[in-house]
Amino acid sequence: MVVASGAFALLIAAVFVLLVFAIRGQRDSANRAIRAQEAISAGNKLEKLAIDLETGVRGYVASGAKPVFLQPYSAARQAYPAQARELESLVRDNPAAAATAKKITGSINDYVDLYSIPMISLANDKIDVARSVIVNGTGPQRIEAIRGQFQQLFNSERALANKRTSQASSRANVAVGFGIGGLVIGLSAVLVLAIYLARSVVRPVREVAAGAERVAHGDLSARAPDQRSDELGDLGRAFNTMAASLEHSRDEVAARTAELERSNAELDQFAAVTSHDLKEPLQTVTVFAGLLDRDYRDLLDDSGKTFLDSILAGTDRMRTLIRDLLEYSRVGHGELRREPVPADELLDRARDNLAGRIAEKSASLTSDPLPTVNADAKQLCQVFQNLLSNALKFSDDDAPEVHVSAALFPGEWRFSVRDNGIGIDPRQAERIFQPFARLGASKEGTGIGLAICQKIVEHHGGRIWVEGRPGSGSVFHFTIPDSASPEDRTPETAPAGVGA
Amino acid sequence: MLAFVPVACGGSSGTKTAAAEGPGVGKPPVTFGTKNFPEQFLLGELYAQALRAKGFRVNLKSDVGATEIIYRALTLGTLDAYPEYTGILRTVIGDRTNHTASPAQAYNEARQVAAAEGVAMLNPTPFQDRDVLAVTVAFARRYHLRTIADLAKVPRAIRVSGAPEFRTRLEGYIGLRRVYGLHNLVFRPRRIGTQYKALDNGTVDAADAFSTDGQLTSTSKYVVLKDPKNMFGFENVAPLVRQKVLDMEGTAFAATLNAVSATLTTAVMRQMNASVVLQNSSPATVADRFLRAHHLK
Repeated sequence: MVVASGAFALLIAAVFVLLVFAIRGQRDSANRAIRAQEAISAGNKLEKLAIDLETGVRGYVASGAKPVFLQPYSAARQAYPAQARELESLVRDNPAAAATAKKITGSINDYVDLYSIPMISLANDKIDVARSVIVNGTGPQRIEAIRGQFQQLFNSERALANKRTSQASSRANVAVGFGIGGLVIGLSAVLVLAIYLARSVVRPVREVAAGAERVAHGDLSARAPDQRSDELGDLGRAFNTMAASLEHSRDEVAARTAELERSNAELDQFAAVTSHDLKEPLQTVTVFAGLLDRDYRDLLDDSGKTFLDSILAGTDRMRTLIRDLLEYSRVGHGELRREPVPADELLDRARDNLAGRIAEKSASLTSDPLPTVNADAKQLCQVFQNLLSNALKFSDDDAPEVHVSAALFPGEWRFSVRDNGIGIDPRQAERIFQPFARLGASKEGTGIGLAICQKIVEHHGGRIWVEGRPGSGSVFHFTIPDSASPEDRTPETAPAGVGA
Repeated sequence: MLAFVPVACGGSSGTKTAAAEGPGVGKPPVTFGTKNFPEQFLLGELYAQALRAKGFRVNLKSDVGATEIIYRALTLGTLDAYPEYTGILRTVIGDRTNHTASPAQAYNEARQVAAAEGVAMLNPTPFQDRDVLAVTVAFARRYHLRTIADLAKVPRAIRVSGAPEFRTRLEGYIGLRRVYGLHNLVFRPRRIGTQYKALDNGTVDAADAFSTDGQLTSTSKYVVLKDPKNMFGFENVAPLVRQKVLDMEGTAFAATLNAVSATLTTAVMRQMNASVVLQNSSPATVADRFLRAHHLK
């Protein structure tokens, strides 16, 4: 990675240096081209001065030595040395042009010294002679020759400028080529690096993430690669340790749950079997105790009669216990026969079943209109019956009042059975739902009714609990999941009784 | 050849550097000019190379111009020396109109003309390069021409070519009319050196030429018309040097030039002119070869 980064940096630096050179070359060549242009411009000026010299001399001679015609010559003669120096200075880095410029200067000097000066002098003295000599055309020929030299110089300058330009341009092309090459190599390097990163970093991380996802969805057997010796390896190993630990915990929980279910089932089985098996000897005892009571009671003294009554009461109680135990063990087995049932009817049925005890206690049983729920009618009726029975059982002797109501909560109906009985110690609130957990001094019942209620309600997917304080009555609540979807029902369409 | 030859390139490669020793070492540089035709270029190389061999520094300026111009440059001081022809100097510069009887007379008169303007004329060469009038062999045969005077017999206008200055010279167009009484002439100015071509293609009928021209070594094509009245005078060559320059350069300067002049005969000059004009040898090379052969270099 470090080597790759270094090589990449070197490549960038090399391309940069090349580009700098190319830019410098272009700037140099541009400067050279400008200087060539300046040289050509200076040359053109000098050339014009040379032509002025010649036309001046010729004009002077042709005009018969009229001083006014000498003006261009005089001006040019004064100006040309400086112009010649400027030209020589501009081309001094181009040896060929420099030599030509020197030649040009020499030629113009010769033209002035050896042609124009004697010619003007001759014209001043002997204008006719000057006129005849000037026809020779020597002057124009010399100027032509000088112009040829200028052309040579211009060509040399242009050639040099072009050469520099093409050099710079080819150098620039090379630089651009290198730049593009560098870019391509750089991009390739980035790509390779990206692939490398993806392989070496992103993929392991993604595998761990995928493992975490599987774990989140419950597949605790998911494992991440953990062969690497770096931080990614550490991550994989940590993940695997966590997953293994979770899997272990889950297995343990599952095993315990299975164990619990098994033991529960065994317990139920045991209860059913024992209840059933107990019934027969109990029946024998009951029958013979009954016979004993009918046929031999009068033979017993008072103590014997008391013992016999105790046996009869005990068998009676034993029979109730076994019946309830069987009932308890039966609840929660087999399929629930759910159907929409009006809770009102179930409550009425329970009330009918308990009619004797209600009348006996002069109890007042009221209810709000109750909803139709999706439940096993027989079992739900049992719940109402047990709760009513419980309310009657733990009521004051004079005029117990029991009220049944229902309210819709999100996803469930909550039924409440309120009494004005002895109430309950909140500390006992949990315990009363355990089988055979009889409270206080009550001697009625077997203490299994509430346990059966809990079993039924929980079998329906609901909950059951109790509220209340000693001396101020108690309220038993239980819930039955609402089968209708929540959208179908709003508080306004809830059963009318709820709000009444 | 027609352009100025730059200073640094004035000589052949062998003459570029001045001699390390010699009487000329340390003397002020001299600007040595020539007139505007090949023979002068050759003379310039001969004199300049001989001087350089003696250690003098010489800027050779070939092709300065016609007598009128180059002499003016000399007297104005932009030039220090150049080879001149005696007859030309006395007529063109000295405005002498008299006829000279001998080369010596022409030389002496020329020397006086130069001396009057502070210019020294060194010793003359044995050869003369006189103006001559040349016609084609065919033209001469057709009109039976032998001398310049015979031109009067030609029954039509005769086109005569010459350098522009030929028109105003006594030893030229003026002399032809005045001395030989020719009135059937039409002057056609041409640059020196182009007249043979003009003769060949019939543009002109007669042409002013130089007696040492290489073309005239072969008489098969051209006929030189005789000049019985010596109208073209005598034209030996002698270097003109500004007196001031001569004084500064010392006696070896004149001695060197005189030594060169002494070797230049007509035959030698025609041969060398032919090498330059007809065989396209460079004047510098021809001069170098000649000077070495005569131990002047």
